[in-house]
Amino acid sequence: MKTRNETKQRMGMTTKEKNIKNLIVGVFALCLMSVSSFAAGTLTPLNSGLKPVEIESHHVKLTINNGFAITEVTQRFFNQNPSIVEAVYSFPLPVSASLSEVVIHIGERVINGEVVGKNEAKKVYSEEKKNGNNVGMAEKNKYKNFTFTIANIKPKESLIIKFVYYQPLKLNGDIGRYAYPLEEGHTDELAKNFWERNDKVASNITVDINLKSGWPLSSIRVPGVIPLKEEKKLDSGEYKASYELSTSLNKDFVLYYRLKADMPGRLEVIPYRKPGSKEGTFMMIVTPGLDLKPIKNGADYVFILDVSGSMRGEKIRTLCDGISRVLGKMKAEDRFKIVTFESSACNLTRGWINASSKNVNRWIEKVKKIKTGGSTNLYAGMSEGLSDLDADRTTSLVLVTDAVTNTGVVKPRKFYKMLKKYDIRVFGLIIGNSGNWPLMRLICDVSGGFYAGVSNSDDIIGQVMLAKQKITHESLHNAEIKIRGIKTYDLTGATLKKIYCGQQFVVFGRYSGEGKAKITLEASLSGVDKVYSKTVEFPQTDILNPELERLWAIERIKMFEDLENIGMMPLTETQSAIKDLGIRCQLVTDETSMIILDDETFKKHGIMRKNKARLSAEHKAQSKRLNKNRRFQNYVAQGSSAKQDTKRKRNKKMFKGNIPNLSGGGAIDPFTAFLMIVGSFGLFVLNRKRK
Amino acid sequence: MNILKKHTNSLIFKIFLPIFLGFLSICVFCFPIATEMMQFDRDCLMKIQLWRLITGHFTHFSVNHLVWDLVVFVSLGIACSVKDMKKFVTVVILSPLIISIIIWFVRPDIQFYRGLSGIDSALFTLFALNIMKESLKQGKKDFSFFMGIIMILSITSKTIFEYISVETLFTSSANFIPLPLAHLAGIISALLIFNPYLFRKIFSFYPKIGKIIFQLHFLG
Repeated sequence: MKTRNETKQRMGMTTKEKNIKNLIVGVFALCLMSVSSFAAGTLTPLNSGLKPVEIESHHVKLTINNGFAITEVTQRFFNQNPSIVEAVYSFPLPVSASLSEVVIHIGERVINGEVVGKNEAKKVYSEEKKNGNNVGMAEKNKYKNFTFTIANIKPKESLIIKFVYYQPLKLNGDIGRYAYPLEEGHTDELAKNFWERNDKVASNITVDINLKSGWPLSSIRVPGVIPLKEEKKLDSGEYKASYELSTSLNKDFVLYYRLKADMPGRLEVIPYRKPGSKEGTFMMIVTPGLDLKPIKNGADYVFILDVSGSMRGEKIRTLCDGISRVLGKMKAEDRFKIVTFESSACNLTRGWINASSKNVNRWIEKVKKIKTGGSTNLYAGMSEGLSDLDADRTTSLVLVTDAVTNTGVVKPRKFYKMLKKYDIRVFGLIIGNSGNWPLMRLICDVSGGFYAGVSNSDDIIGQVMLAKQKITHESLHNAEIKIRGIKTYDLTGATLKKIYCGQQFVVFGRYSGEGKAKITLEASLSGVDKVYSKTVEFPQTDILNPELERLWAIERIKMFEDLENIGMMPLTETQSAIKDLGIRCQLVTDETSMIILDDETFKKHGIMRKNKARLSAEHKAQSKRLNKNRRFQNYVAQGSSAKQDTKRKRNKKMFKGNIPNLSGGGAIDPFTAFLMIVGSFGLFVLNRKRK
Repeated sequence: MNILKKHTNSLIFKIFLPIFLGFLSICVFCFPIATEMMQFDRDCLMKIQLWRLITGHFTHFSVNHLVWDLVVFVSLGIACSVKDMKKFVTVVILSPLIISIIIWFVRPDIQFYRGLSGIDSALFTLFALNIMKESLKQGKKDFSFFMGIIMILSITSKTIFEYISVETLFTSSANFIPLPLAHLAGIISALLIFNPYLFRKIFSFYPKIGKIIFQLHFLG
């Protein structure tokens, strides 16, 4: 503070000047907030007379290793201006992403990132920028995007920025999906008044994929792109490929991988514990192999569709296409209601419609003609959708939106209170990037539903079919994971309201002690209690997956946000908890940012190199996993050592069944077989008698 | 040629052929690599691995799936081949092709398809049609003729009902989605094969293909 006052005195500012400065800072802050709305690309202030910072190259290296993905993006920027500029690069926030590493190469100099409190990062950044030093900052802007700001780029200077983020990946049935988001989200029009986006890349965008699955793969699909080269060892769960995309950062890259048919239901526990540490972290992936039967009785479906301005373009086409296909798959006994909303809500069908083929076809045509406009009053849409429900029929609410609510009631707490009153399931589909994931998560979790993202680059029909599979099949109720025999704590996601057909779920947690633990999934199916259990070893030491600590912390942060949103945790307490976790596990959050400096400047500001130590352990583990992939696979699938393997072979399976998938089969059921054989025999006998 | 014709017309061969095909299905099921190479796989079909259009029907997802499909295939196969060998062979070759093509166009969401049940439906229809034809040959529409109609109508209406209501009436599988469409396609293919003139008429736009299929029908 003393330094700042001295500076002010030295500058000799008047009160008026201070006010003007405050105003400029305010506008700048507003601009930075608005930056959040943009998709991938460099940003230049409008009417600044500056040429945009050029993106010379954009290379993505993707490693998917069983339960999570590591995305490494390397870009070369070039300042084509005759003056020193500040480069701003933003890209849509990938779901559950933990930004772990940022490295900037400027000529010979290399600067690295460390996570500190948001205000501290801003202070250090401003100071170093003013001193003319190379400095960078990475920030998370709520649910919208990551922004990288790099100061003092000299005229005609090139720099290379590399950033890495981790994401847990879940399977949907037997299908895994990874998305690298790039496309404009259209969720904040205000930003366009301040910034001009440059999404052009001088050379082609390249993506290298290294996929390793503990289970055999059957196929890989990247919609709309053909690989330059690929190396498939699908039986051993390995796939390597190189893809070349267009020269614009305006289209998402989506990868699907499908496991072989008949993969068993399973429980996988991946631990991490440093040597000598009193506690460890684990990720538990539960893939239920349950024979959940189709729901045969007619049900009611409410479709609540966002037709606000932010849904224009590809989003509305995606929405209409998806809904038309769902309508087309309804049974004659089903009923549906369509509610659209923008600034206000409109009950399009004016009540329940029987899903006869005639009605369905009529409404498919009407849905295809939906136009967009206005702001987003999600609360009004939900209220209208929840009116006139029939207590005697099962009701599912399908909500399709980008969830960027900005009119009417916007507080998540109000949504929570409204949904608590009803016994319905909400299934949310978030269309496009930069959608309000926290709000959608809250809405769906409170009702025991689920949510999924849909990109314009997705196979829409596949996504819709996977969602439909969940809605139209029985689900397990009041599911809860219990771990006995070892002390576990700080769990995330261990209590689920429902488990749907093909749904995989991931539980993160911490543990102390070592040895065997009995893991039990307790739930009820059609009023009958079901218990599935398995014994798993929690080791004293395991250094293969240090990234788990960050992934666990991200899930904890999501949990804190949810608690704050429903009013069960005060805002200040939430902010403090998020900041503590962010700094401890080196995560860029809403309360923490990554400041990028050289070693000496870190020392000067007294910033500890926590991320450097963490990254060193992670890099070592990543290279170890790369070299000893087979061992890692065995570990995930069965056990970490030969001794454990043998023991686990004796350990009974948690689920008897296999995971469901979207394969089709011509199946003769016993009744039809009986009908065919007896009928044919009867005909044969009649024919003989006639002769 | 005469020796071959004599053998193919023998009762033992007529019984042996469906059993042999059933045995092949069991062998394929026992070797997952063979199943992978033979199943209907949309991506592989795009790479012109066209044999999968036929061989895919002889692959299965699970033991339960295999057992019921096979029981019906072998029993109806023997009944059909004894009654009319050439029509049985035609159905076994052409109906998988027709079913696969229908699945390809009508169910683009299905990546993989396995199962003999489409052919089973075709064989059942074929057998009933054969009985009806014999009844007509004798110049009178007796009880067996009407029973044939009832059997075909009952299996068709059950399949149509399943198709409309999306799920099958009695089967539910966690491994795959049961496809009533395949059964419907099987019934349609049997009707077309039983009446080759109708078939030829459909293919009249492509006379050469129509002619080949027509000739194939009279093979044996």
